[in-house]
Amino acid sequence: MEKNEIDNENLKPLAEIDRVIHEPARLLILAYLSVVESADFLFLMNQTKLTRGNLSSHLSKLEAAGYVEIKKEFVEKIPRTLLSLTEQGRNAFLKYRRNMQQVLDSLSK
Amino acid sequence: MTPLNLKEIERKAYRSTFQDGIWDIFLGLLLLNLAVGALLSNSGVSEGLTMTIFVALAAIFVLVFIACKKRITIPRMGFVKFGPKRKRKIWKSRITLVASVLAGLVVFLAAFLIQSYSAGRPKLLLLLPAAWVANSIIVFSLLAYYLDCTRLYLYGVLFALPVPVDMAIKEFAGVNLIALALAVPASIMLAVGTVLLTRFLRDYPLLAQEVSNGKK
Repeated sequence: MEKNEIDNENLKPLAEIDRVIHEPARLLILAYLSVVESADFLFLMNQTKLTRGNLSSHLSKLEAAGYVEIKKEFVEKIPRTLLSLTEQGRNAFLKYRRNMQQVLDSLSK
Repeated sequence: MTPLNLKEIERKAYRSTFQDGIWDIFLGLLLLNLAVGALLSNSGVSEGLTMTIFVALAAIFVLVFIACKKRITIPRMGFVKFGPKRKRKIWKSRITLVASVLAGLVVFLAAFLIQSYSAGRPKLLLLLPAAWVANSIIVFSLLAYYLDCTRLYLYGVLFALPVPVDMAIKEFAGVNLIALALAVPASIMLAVGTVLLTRFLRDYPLLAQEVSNGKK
């Protein structure tokens, strides 16, 4: 095998890439949620610069995958939607990072 | 574009909580409060009354600060709880602040003792301003580091300057301008805070209640 030829064995992690996380907007959402304990919808919208509808739809997908927990609470009678990463979401995000790192490393050889 | 570096993302998210200018205004008001205290003291108001006004105004500023964060910042920027690493840094900054207040009290008490022993020993009189400068610069530098807010380095200098500036003016011009020496840096902080707050209000308009909950 030539040096420049991509070794398919090295690209095995590519098949394991989580497609739910791989979408850029969802990756950004998970990146933000991974560095905080919890944040509300507005904070996440301001940080990610996603539109309300876009963020809402991505959060629904992440919630359906079990990666994000969405809690409704009332603070002084004002409703607040609190978002946080679930344990499953944190593990999936870590695994995604590991897999992507492997894929990118193998591509750079 | 935001780099996908988790440390940077966390830092950016945390630093965004200082974009509202409320901290700047609060610190400016605290320094202005010292200027008011100096002005009252210079105009013959009793120490007790001056101290009472100082403490009352400081308490009002703290309450206004909390109310502004609650009523202006959170409804516009959103609510966030940071992770354990950041919480530890915030705790360190709180401890630094408490230590600074305690150190300030010790210096304040020491000043009375020094004044009574300083006759004929002018070098002792330099201890108080030196302690003020060191305390301001060290505390604000630690806060700037722990809170990731670089403006606080500048504010450390602004807090430190008035006392030596006042001493220099007294030495060379023979006039007591401590109130002005405190009011000028306070005005700089207030101006920075006002600009930041105006920008914040423009960039983060108040959205309808349901928007903050992700519903249309």
